[in-house]
Amino acid sequence: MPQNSGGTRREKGQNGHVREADLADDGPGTAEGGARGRSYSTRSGRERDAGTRDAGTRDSGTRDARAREARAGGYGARDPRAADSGGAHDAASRERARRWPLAARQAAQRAARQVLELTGRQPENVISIAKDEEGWQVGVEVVEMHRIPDSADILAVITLVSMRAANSSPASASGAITAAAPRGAEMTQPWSSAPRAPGRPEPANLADILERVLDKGIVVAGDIRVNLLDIELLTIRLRLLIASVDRAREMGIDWWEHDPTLSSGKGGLADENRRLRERIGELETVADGGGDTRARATPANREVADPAGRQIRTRRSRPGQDNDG
Amino acid sequence: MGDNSATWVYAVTRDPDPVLLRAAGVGGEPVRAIGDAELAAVAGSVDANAFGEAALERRLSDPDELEAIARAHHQVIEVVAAARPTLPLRLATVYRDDDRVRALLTQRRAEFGDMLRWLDGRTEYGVKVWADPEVMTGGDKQEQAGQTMQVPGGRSADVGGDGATGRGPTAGTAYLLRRRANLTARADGWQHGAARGEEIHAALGRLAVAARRHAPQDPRLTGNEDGWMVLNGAYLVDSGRGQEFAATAGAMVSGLAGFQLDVTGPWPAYSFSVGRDQ
Repeated sequence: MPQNSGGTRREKGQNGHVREADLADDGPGTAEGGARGRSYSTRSGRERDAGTRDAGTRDSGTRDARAREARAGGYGARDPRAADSGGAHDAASRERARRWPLAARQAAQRAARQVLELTGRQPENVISIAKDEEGWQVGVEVVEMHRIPDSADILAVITLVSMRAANSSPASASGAITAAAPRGAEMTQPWSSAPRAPGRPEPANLADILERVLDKGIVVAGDIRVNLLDIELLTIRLRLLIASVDRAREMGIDWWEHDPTLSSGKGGLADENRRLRERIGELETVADGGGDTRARATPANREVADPAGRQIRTRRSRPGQDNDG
Repeated sequence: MGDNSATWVYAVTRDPDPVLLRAAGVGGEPVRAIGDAELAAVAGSVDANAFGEAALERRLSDPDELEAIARAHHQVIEVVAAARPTLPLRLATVYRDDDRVRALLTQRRAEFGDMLRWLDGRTEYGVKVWADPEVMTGGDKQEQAGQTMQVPGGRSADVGGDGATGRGPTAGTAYLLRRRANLTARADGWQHGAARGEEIHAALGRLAVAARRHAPQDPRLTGNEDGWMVLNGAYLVDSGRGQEFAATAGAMVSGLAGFQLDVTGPWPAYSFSVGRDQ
């Protein structure tokens, strides 16, 4: 099952599991199979959703899949408003939480903490965050199994789904899916080295506008302050989910691998990730300091004990490349 | 100005009145000028309940609302910038009332005046360049070679463990070798593409009054999901030279195999309204 290995995480000082260096290990394969099945059912649901353009008839398969993830994840069982057990939120974020149920960054932090609690594995990265009518979906990456060389580490992406509807009506969210779906298709052009005729440009696309109005322009201190950093992060992720969920799934789940913002170590999202990681580190320190009796689960029993929506991350260079393996 | 109104500011410009009649603001409100002919803010009165801090944060978190607000904000700025030197303000700059806006104009009058003079007669163009990963990494040929890559003799036993099938590398070993070849090819390809991006940026920068690079956009935001965005630049160009600039960019990229170009503009000078020196 070559699909299962292939992370490239560099984990200094943690790569001592020589006995697990069997290259043909099929262990995670079962998890992969499960994750794939769900992933496909979700996708087909989405496709039908977009195809019928009917906000009222969400595909039941999608809903089932989501519900399963949400139940299993346990993430949604928490009231996002509740003062969290980690207790490491600062006053500002608590204030935010009170005012607005769950901001993007908090959702990511909570999800990361939940992953830690659920799996006993330290979250590596929050790799995706998106909100839909049912709440937040946060993808958190963990090292499933350390290997030598560490480029063979197996990474898992755990998707946590918050069931709380975060103040957004189903109608508007579904509307966004239908409205945004064609954009990607329209704009995709076959490769060619010939430039498009310059001339009078077509109406600006949303990505260009958001890039400018959210991040550029004169900054003056208005009387009403909105943290655009959160919004920017959120917007990118939301758009990703909404605009091209079908195409993205077809691509595989490795888009961030060739996202230079994420992989080059510079740029806003990379910084955001770094901050989230640091934050997670702090949270973990706090958690560990508090008399931690949590057993460190072995991979085997975590297959049972951790039913959170899990996808083994394959990081394929190109979709379909490994299908013959 | 009742209690329930707030002032949303779009831009700072000069002598804006004649051009404002066509624009409607983020709340559908008529847009007006605050200030004097020399320096004025383009603003509109919005419902403080709908555009207050909590409401705004919630609305901007909703993709539909964000898009609508962002486009409306941009549209006002675009209309103004088409006729006047314009400093766009970042989205969601909201004041309690017009007096607060006047105070801002007074306080930063010299700075805004300088920037408007600098931007006068200039406009922004966006240039995005994508590299085709297949061309950058050597294309299908390399991939096929990777899939049939042989393990050097003697190493297969070490690496492959129990793979005593006698027909070359085990599936796992072959996979890892393929992975490594692919990763190397991708890294090299990315570097090649990024280097061309740097060159194009430098060349276009010489045609422009000023140049900035933005972070690459996510592939799925742009709809160009198969390409690497190796350049996402913004260039401040003298207004009369926009066509020339775009044509030059086109010529530069068309000479390179595996690269794709997208020129957008003219834009209001968003990317150059953060101060001329940085």
